[in-house]
Amino acid sequence: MIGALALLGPVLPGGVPTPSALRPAAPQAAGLESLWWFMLWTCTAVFLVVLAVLAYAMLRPRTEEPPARRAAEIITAAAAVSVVILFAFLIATMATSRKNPNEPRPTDRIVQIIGHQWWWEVHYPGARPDELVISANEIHLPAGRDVVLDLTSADVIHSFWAPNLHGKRDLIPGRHNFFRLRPENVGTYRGQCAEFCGYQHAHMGFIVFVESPDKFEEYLASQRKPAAEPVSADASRGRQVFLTNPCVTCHTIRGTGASGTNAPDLTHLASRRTIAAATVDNTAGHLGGWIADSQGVKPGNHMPPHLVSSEDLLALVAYLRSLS
Amino acid sequence: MSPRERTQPADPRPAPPESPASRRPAGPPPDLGALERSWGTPRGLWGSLATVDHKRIGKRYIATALVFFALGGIEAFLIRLQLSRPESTLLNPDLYNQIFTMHGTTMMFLFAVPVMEGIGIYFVPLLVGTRNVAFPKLNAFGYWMYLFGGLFLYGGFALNAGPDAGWFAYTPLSGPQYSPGHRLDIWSQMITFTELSALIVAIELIVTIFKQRAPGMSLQRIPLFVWAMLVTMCMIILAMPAVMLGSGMLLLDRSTGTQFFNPSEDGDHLLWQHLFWFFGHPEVYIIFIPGLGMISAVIPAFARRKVFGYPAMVLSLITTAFMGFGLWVHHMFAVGLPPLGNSFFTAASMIIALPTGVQIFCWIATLWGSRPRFEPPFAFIVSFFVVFILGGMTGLMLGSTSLDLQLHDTFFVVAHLHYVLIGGAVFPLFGALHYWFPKMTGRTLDRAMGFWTAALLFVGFNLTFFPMHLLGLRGMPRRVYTYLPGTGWGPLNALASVGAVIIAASVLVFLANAIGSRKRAAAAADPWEAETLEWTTASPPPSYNYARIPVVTSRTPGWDVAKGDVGEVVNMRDDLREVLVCRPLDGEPEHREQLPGPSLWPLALAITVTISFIGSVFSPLWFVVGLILCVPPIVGWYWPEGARERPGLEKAA
Amino acid sequence: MSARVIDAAAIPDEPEDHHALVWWGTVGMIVIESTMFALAIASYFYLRMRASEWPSMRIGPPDLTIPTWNLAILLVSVAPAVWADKAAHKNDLRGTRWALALTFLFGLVFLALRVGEFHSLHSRWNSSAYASISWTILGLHTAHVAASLAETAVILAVFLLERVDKRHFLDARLDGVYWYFVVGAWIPLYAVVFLVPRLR
Repeated sequence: MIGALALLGPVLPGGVPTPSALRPAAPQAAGLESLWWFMLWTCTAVFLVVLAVLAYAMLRPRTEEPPARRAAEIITAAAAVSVVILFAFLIATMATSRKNPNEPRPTDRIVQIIGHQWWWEVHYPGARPDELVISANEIHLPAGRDVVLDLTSADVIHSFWAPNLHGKRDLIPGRHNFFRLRPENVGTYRGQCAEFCGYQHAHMGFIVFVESPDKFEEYLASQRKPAAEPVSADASRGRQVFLTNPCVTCHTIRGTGASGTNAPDLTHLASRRTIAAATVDNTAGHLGGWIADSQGVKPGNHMPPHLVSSEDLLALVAYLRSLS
Repeated sequence: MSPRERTQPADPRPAPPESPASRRPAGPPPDLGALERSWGTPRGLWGSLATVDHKRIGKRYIATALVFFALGGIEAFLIRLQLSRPESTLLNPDLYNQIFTMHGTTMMFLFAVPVMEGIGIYFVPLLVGTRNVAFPKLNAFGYWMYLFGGLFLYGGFALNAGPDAGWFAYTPLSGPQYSPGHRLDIWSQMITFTELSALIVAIELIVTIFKQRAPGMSLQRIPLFVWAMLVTMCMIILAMPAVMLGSGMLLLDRSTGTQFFNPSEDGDHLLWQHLFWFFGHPEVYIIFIPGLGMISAVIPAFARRKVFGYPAMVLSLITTAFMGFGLWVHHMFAVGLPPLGNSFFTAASMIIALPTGVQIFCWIATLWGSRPRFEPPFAFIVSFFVVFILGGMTGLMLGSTSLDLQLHDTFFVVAHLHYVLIGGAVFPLFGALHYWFPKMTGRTLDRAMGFWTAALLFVGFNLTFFPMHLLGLRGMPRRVYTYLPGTGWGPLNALASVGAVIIAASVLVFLANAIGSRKRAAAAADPWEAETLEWTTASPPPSYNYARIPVVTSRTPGWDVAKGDVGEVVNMRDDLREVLVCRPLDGEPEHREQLPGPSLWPLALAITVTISFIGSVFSPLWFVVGLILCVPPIVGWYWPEGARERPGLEKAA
Repeated sequence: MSARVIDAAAIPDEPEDHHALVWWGTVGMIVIESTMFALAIASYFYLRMRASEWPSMRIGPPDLTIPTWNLAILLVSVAPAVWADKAAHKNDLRGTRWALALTFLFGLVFLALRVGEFHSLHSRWNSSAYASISWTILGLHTAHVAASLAETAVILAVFLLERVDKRHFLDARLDGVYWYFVVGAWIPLYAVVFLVPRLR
């Protein structure tokens, strides 16, 4: 599939289609799209009519000033029409927002998203505390079900925006914002941070995977498992490299004792299609390059470069790619 | 036929008997030499630094603002170069963040508001028929504060300490934890400089407009441009304190550890946003309403008619200004505030279109069947209609709290804001500059080059900003230093960058036109046959503006002069800087006052205040030291110069 | 021909005080500063609305003794300010001098006790948003008091050292108007900083 798309030009990481607010995949985005077209056509008509009247006013043969009373009547009528149009816009707006209440109900599934400079921490709370799934940058949601996102930030203000699904909502430190989504169409959708948050704001993307409820539960079940034990010698060595380097101060790999929380959880890194917040594909080359020189991929990001020997680097990459 | 020819009296009835008021003046003819000695500025460096002539200070504001416009334009050009293709490595993210912050900060604080202020400072006294603004030394001080604030910001930028958190500087990104160093301190303090300057201009223009009008100029007879400036100045007074308070709180958080914006100590990041946007939304109207005034100033000469519907126009200006304070939350629709509150701000954001719409309808009525003379100033007016109305339409879309969630913080907003600010302020500004250039400089601008400026600006502007609407809908957020190739945003960005080149060309044509004017013929006093007072005096006006203060009888004194319907005030002192002070509503003269002459104290005080403000960025101690240093200039400014200063007044003790 | 000719010699050159340009300028400045205070009060209530405890139980509300005495001193200082106003209106040089000096002294006492008012908050400015906004409101008002006193001092110096004319008496009156503003503004600010924390 990705190979076919490659014929059309560069492709987004993960093979995700280009985003668009005009290709809704959820009722929230669909409602906004309808509002968009209503306002666009009405505004275009107003724009053209006003300019046409202006052009006619200037180009018609010279006459005396229009009688004040007549002109005042016409202007009043035009103002009245304007008020009607503005009121229609207001009603349409209120009708659209009423359809999107955000307050969570007891039966809603909650997905917590915590914004960081420059990645997305994703929590899927379960019924019991040990059912909690923690991941990063790629968000899985069940199709046809209401999900309420619980949005907050660990550092500066970010904004969650997947245009195919809904408008955007800010992630503000010290506040929890609840945001209701109901993705309908199975597929993958790209999103990007939409509130300036520092050096790598431009590369703080994410992918939403909308899948059938069964596949969604399968996903959660597989993510709950601790990290896979390394099978090959290379991967074993890689795990040693991971545990004896500063990696553990920031990253978690459940089951190894590494429990840093400043950076994405790597327990199931190989199950993700992209790395660096949906900036590059999750391949051996990109992973190796990221570890050796993340500043070259995202200058200014908080991961320092790591000088490991080439054998250690290859082993580390082999280990990380085994964490599916 | 010009208005004057059309209105030549052909009345065969005998003239009314002479009343005492209409007898030939009893006083001596005005001694222009004495007036020039009283009101002129001495030549040389001392004169330049000490001048309190509103025309010189006004021109300084305009020239300085245009320099900042060019700098902001270069920053924009760099942004467009960087974004013209995906993953460009021309600018690293740190430099890019500084550049786009400097672009917004420069255009909003150092160009748009000061240039409107400058035109107001130059023309308001001329339009109301007085000789200077109400507080001449304060006027000079205000200019120096603006200049020093701008220099401070650019000095910081040159030393790699340019602000990099956006012109809006949201916390906590702009706070002590995520913006260490002095970048944001310099930004915050620059705001203090420029807002202090704006508040000073506001006070002096409001007092000038209310209290120094020529006799006969009731409030119903002041030009619409003066109404626009009055309304704008009132907005400045109510809006600027919000950003001064907010930036002061940011400075305190950063330097002394206060907790205004720290949620873990009961602070709130939204406090910053509320304070900033309570200022920020009126700010765009502060920029745009003078533009509306300029449209009303330019149209009559070319349509050869007064603007239709004066009361409706005035009411629209006042209503727009008033409502402008009730919209600010539309910048915060994505923040998660209660929906009912958001709906109120949607309603307000929609309804504010109405007064501006009424203004547009009145201008259409003015132009109806007028076959306007198509000259460069008018070309910019026509561009205004096309560009601004489109921007207003996208503004309605953004005002919808629902739809805004898709459009907020994307390039759709970048398109919108440039359509309304460039359409609503820059096009009218260029129209006004072409219109008033002969009056200010005594030289003419080349007509063909003027048309080229307008055409290039119109084409370049639309090419740059129209594609951005589409980019926003296709998911491109704002303030990104680059974007991935797979997004497909490349072609539209490349197109926008080509447009930037054309905009730059138009500005260069204007510069060449202005510089080349020195070699062209001198301008007449009234090249456009316009209806307002400034055209009844020479181009450029002498230091004293009018040989005799006029007495007006209608809204169109420029057209009344030929009919003999403009009187004059005689026997004013020409050995002192004397002005007439009037009653605020009906403009009838009330008393005479003396205004101060050239003085270095405003510059001295500006220097000491600057030391205090700049020093405080580095240490609170400097703030106090600076304040103490301010005492001598304040005393010097105020201390009476003895009998020499006011020879006419009696001593009480 | 409807042109009027107006003889400026017939127009007085001594304004009614409240018609003078500087009067309007002073009023404009007062409007600006009132807006700033109003926004500071709005910020205070905004932060309070979002806090669970205001101030925290640990700190408790501010002491009222010194602040209330200082409020009284400020209100009493209106008396010499009114005296200065009336004396200046009558061009009474001696009266103006004494009244200005007395107002200045009251102001100095007020400033001295203001230090105690800061202490009454018993929390440092950087300990919480409550402390930050309370210190800031106090600080803003203190700056206004200090500026007004400095202005009074300069005018008093002029009255003691120079020959004064009607223009200077107007300036003395305007100094008094500014002092009224400084006193008047303090009444709601005092209520916000010192009484509101006691509302639970």
